Amino acid sequence: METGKISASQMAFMMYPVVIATGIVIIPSITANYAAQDMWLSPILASLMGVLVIFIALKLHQLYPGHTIIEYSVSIIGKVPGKLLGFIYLYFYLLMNAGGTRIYADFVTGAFFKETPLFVILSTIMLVSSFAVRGGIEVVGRSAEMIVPFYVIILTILCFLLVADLNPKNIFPILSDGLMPSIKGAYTPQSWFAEFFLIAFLLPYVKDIQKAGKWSMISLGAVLLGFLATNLSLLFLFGGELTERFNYPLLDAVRYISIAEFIQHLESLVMAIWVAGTFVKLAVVHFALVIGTAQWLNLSDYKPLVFPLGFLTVLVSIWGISSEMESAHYSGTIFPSFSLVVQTIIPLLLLVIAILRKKHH
Amino acid sequence: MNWLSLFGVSLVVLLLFFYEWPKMNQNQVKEKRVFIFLIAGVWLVAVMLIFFPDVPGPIDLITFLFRPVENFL
Repeated sequence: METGKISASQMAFMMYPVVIATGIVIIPSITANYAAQDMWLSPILASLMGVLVIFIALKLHQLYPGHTIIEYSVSIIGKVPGKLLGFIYLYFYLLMNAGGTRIYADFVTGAFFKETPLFVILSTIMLVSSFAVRGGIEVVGRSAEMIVPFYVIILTILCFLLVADLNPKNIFPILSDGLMPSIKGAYTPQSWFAEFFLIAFLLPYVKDIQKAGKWSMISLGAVLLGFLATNLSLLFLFGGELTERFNYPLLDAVRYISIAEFIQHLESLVMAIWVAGTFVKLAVVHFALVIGTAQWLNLSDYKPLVFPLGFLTVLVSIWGISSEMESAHYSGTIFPSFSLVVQTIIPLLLLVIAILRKKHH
Repeated sequence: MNWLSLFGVSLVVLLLFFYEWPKMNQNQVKEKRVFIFLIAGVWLVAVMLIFFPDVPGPIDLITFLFRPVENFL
């Protein structure tokens, strides 16, 4: 169905913005809310979830090479339960992408385009991403390869420009209330790290599959570094107590940058990488959703589904969510539990069943 | 305003149809069926949301299912 191939390094470039594009903007304040001055520890704990899901996805792909989870769930647990499980995955990725689009649109309207209707922001970004997906996985892979290096460079520059204003003493007292606050603070970011399970949809199209494990871990490491750098910068700049009060602490931190009253108003840079990163993120997740749907229905081509499902994603992102607060509540507390079940527990069970079945035959 | 939105949504769906339909092969019957079903469904949902924006959606189902976990935290 998809004849295009990507390289393992392109897959790493694709996965980076999937996790970080939305994560870096809303997660610091959620983490700070639970973990306060220990907020830097939470991403480290949460990244263990990323290691686990990458391991599961790679193992499952080893057992069923060339197949995505929609296909091998049927081979593992039988036709009807497998199809049912496939539907749960499609539902999950539809909602995940709708949530991502909504986080993006809330941020853009909240911080920059205060008068623009939400649906304009939602549909424009989804339209561009859909065009990329319609071009095939190679187009998505190459856009990621082109955009992500700029993303990383700009993020790094922004963190360095903050250095003069940082106060490292904010990190103390370390672990004053034990590990529990950091673990609670890791509950939301674990669902973002678990999005690495998306490689289960990309692995069948990777040319140099033996390098996939290495590149996934590099991508995970880069994501962890990104989260650590932003969380530490915010902690050193505002302290844990203040960070939780901002909706988008990174944006407020960047607004704070003023060097010699000459280098300032850098929030336009945040906006630029934010739009570019979200474009890649939505395209990758949308690709997974579309190819999954086509495989679920046994179609010969996924391209006709790209735009209708893109439209549906935009609709779901406003369906029943009337305010930004409701949307933030969903992303911060409901989505992590949903993700834990669908992206971690179910794949783990599938892997166990698959290994047991292979041993019996 | 509602009627204008209805017009806009219908226009988008029509454009989508005329963009995608000629690209499909004669023998892709199943693909055509799925495509028609999807855009008709999407159009219906969009129209419903224009006139009744407060209808509970897919995200509300998940919120309902996972709320107990949130209280546990």
